Amino acid sequence: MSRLLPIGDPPAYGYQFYAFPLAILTIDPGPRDWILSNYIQTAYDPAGPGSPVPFCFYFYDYTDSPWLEVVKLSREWVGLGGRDIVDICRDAVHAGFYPYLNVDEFYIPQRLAYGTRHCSHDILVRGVDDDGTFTVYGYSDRRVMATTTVSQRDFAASYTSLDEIPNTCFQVYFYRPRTDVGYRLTPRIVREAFEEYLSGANCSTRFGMLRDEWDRAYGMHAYRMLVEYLDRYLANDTRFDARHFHILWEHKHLMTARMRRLSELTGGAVESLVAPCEQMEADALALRNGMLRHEYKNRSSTVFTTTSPGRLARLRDTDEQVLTAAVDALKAFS
Amino acid sequence: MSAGAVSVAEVRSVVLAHAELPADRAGISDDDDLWLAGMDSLSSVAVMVAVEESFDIEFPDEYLTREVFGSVAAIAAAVREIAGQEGR
Repeated sequence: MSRLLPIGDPPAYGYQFYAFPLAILTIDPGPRDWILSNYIQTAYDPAGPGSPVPFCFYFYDYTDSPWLEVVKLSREWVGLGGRDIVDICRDAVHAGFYPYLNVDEFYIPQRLAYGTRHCSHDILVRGVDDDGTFTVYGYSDRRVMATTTVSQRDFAASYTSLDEIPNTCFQVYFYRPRTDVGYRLTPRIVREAFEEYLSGANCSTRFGMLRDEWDRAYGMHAYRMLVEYLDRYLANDTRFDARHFHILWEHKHLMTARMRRLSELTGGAVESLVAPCEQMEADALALRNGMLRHEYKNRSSTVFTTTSPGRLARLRDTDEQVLTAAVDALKAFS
Repeated sequence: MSAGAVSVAEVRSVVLAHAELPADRAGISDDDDLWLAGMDSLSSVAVMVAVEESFDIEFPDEYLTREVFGSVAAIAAAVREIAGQEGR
């Protein structure tokens, strides 16, 4: 029996670990308010481009959402059970669960490392077919999020191979959408998140009773690191990493949607801030695409070289002004 | 190619060579939405660079939007605008 689980277009997809839950959450409009109440905080790792995740949204737990049932196993636990990973994933998909785990991409067709190098990378399984294949989702060899297929034999090899190659990701999780929940965006909670973002406060402190605080540059303070990265990149003093401005664009893309929703919920109290958010989104997209073009042209784009520092500075200033105005406007709402 | 006298057909040729559209979408019209036809963001940058090299222009930042790269006709219009600004 075959089954293909649905996915939507995730509004943010810079890293698979959050793109996968978002792809499931966007099947249905229900979780929209929850998504817009999150993805507000950002964090920049002082290690910079050498970090595996230099700049990203801040999450305490990227799997956590009221709209998702999440079963968390590990490779060790799966091994103790003695069942084959193919059987586990097949049964999970038939039960409506999306398996999320790391595999060796050497064995996964249409992935960057396929057939050329051994590399641990996460993957989402969204379908099973009678012909002996799994349908999987993730970044393809064209560097875009795509649905592809892999034989169950190769999938099993990709799983067991992680015992032989460097791997630090041992999760074997299963996501299943929930429909028996509700969540409504609360302007007060979003306002508090804006205040935290503006102050550059370490938002991991909120979870200090559960784990050590995280040394990162947060919120507005992350701009300092982005400016430093751009300066070094333009001076040919660091490597190309499009994720910096891609994540920045995702943040502004979601902020535009968030401001529109806040305006709906507050009778238009922040309507005047939607257009500046759209401009920030356009500026961030121009930075991302301009940097990609610069790299495509062997770092010879005069437009990017001359305009990107000013554009990033303008974006930072607009961000501060817009969120400060939003905080003021939202104080009247609970 | 000269950007000042650029035709939609010339732009179309460059776009379809770099947009990496699915085979069954290669026959799209000049006004069809390239994003809906399957162009992704990385392919759009490849289109941008190819158009710049073909017509000897460089898109200013304000042209690096989804709308400008949304159709063959929109890209051709942008090329003509930029060529006009540059006095070609």
